[in-house]
Amino acid sequence: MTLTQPSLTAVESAPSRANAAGRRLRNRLGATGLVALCWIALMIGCAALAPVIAPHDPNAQDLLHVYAAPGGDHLLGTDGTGRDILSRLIWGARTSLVGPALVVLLSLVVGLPLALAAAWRGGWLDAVVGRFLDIVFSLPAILVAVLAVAVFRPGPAPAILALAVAYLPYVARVARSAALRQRAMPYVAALTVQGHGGVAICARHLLPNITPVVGAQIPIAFANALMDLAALSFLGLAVQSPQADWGVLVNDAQAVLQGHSSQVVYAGVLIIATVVALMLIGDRLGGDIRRRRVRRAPQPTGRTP
Amino acid sequence: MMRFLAGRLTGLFITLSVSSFVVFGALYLAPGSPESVLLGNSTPTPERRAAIREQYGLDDPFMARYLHWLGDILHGDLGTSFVGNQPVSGRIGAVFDTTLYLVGVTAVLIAAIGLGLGLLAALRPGRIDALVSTVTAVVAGVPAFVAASVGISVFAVRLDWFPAYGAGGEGFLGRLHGMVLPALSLALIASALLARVTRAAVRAELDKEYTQTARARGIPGRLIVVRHVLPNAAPPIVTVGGLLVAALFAGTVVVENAFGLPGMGSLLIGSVNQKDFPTVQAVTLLMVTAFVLANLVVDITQQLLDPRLRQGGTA
Amino acid sequence: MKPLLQLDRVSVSIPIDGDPRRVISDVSLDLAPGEALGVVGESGSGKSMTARTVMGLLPSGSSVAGAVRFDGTELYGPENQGRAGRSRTAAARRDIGMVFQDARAHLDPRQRIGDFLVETDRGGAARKAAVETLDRVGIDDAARRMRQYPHEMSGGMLQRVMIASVLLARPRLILADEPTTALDATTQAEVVSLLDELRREDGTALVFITHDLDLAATFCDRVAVIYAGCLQEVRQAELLIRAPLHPYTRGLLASRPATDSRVPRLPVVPGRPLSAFEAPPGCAFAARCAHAVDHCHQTRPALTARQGALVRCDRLAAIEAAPVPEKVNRP
Repeated sequence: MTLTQPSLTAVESAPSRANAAGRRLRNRLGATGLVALCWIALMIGCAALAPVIAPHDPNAQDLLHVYAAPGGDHLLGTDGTGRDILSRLIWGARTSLVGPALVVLLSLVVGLPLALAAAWRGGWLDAVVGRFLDIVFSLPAILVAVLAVAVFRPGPAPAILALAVAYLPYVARVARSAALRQRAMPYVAALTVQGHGGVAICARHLLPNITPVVGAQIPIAFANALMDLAALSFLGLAVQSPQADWGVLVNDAQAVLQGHSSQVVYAGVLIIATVVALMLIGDRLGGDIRRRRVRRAPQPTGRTP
Repeated sequence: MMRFLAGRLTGLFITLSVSSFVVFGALYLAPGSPESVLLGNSTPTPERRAAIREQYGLDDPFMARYLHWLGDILHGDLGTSFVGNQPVSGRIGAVFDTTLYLVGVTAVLIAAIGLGLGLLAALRPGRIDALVSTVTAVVAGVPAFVAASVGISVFAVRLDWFPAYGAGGEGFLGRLHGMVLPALSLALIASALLARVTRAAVRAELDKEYTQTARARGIPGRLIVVRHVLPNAAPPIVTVGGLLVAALFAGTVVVENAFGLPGMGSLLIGSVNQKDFPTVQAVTLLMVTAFVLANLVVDITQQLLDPRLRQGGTA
Repeated sequence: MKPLLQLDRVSVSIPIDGDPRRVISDVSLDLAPGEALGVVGESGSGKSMTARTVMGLLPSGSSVAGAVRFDGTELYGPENQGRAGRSRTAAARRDIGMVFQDARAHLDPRQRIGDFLVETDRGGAARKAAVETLDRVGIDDAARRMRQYPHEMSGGMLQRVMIASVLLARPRLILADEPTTALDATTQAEVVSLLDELRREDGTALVFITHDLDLAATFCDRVAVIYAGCLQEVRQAELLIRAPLHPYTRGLLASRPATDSRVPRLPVVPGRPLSAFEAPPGCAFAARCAHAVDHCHQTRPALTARQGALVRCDRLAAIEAAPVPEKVNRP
């Protein structure tokens, strides 16, 4: 059944296929899922267009207007050195989203081939990869990042690299078990008999077929990476202070103790809303896969009279 | 059971060996020589430099240093801190109980809130379930440092109910008072996750056919839940709860720094900033060990809870 | 004699995908003390729901119309609301025992057999009685079995345990919902004869729910054939097997495998079984009936007394000539 899909969609014209894809997405996400998707799109828009839409320079200090109340020229007020909070939040979307995106991307680039190779070759390679993933899995991500920062220097690069390593198992374990399931299917044996090479089968058939399962994992991993990276920036170990980042913005103890906590609350709300939206999307995608698997399970396997 | 235990202990051994190697090796590779940290900005005489390299064994080959370090740790000697030339074990000993206390209070909070909300949602379908599910979905996205900062600004600064900084007052209750905000911040995500797992597990068991048998035999609903549903729903709840509590040791890093609690997490970040490698190594290894051990305890508990596994059955 | 169980024009709706769907419509049945009644139908016909309605095991959000009376006590009336009403209903149901289809799924996997048997009666003599009853249902080494968990016993054994648990409560009515479907053929026969033998000894009434018409006819006094939540034919077991009236009953009898003759291919009732909520306005069986005429599709026939039976079919006179395949009862 997996093999026949392309021929069905191939005859449709491009726009109707796009419509169908949109409808499928809507069905899978539901109304709340769509709201979540819109929120993520809004945040990405802010990050991409920060220079255009931010009303002020995020780092321009104005010592005459510190802790200005919201309204007028500064929609969300100013911080302790008179910087425009709204502009800093908009610019902060950049590091806050690009960092986790890199973490997920890196762990996918390394994790997927690793998982596919392990599932395809089996044997000792699978055993070694499995054990390696188990060990990495038993290391808390934050600790790996702290260690990396201790070795190199505080900054986004070591933190992102370390988190990418720590997140490897989350992606690779799911991908590996999904690939093992696919590998056991008859169509793979058929392709092998027809003389297709292992790499080709992995790239052209296994990878597309495990994409939905791994795809549902991506928003969840993104959300966790966002929280971890923001926490590291909060601790002063990733993104450094004058730069606008949601994690950095939450760490304004000075302002909090003086009762000016609005910046902390705004940045906190942005983090929470983005994380919740991502988890919701991941949940819906994952739940959809689970539902489909359950529906398919009770069918008898092609018995002919 | 014995085979299971042997397998798990082997896994534990391999994991800890590899982690210790990584922890030691990573800092060995760190750019900048350790003695420059020790000597600070002063320009030492070659003799002084040599003496320090001798004292810390910096000229030995890598494997020798690693095995030496590991051997010392197994004997309870965690090395000598670069800061103040004091033993690392002493520095950790001074702050260890704060972290343990924080983890303990947080674990209790997670169990109470997570199980409570999860059971409520599972046993009260409809509006209460929908409300609890929405709340837990949102709370699952509240990172500890955000909760800490907002918590300080509201409950410590505005309302002045709890201290904003430090370990709180004297005695058990005084300390508990100081721990409320940190523990709550740390417990939020874990409680929400545990509540969702509890709800799902209890729901799944409520749908099982044996509850029909119990109802048909006239056993009251409350007793069915307590006697049949909860024990059967326990395994996934215990697993996830255990993993969440195990992860708390790493979570203290963030919360202790947010609240200025003098614990292992504060010590770790302080040592990172001071480039105090022996302390970083020891604290990291301790935290990983605590995490791995907690996981082992969860696995063993799981085995003991299930009569089928306990008797070595295959079901 | 006053009926022990009485269903009077009972209709039941349960929520399916959020909408209330009718699964039983207008079922009326009487059961005398000590009588055995077979309820026969295909899956989805509502036969299990009938037992669940009596036992109060319907999913939440279900609604029951009509009257269900056990020993004169109404189980679904307005007087059963509130705490007092519920405890009154529960007290009445204490005299009903239920044996389920899949014993393994219906036992708590963490509960020892002994603890299960004494769960509802914790008196000092309870354990002794439990051991005796295990003995009675043919379980060897009962004292040791008391300490075992369900996963250590076979499916047939567990169904015996289930029967023992029901007997221990000394019920006046046993509802057996496909008690043997999950078992293999030889165990099936043993378990049904055991259930029948023991209930005769105790003088307990039985409602035996099954899809196997022969099995029901062998062990029951009367058999009710149910289709799409509607009773189609209720009759003395022997007569029903020998001279079925309703086309559906005939179809069921024709489609069973024979033990005495070689038939190249079993005739099947054409079409797919329906649930009550899928049934068209006319006769529920019309779509699958070879004798159906326009009238059948438009008006639902009433359950009428004929030749000592209750039959729901308006075409009986016309069908009279139709041949019924010769069959011999399975032993």
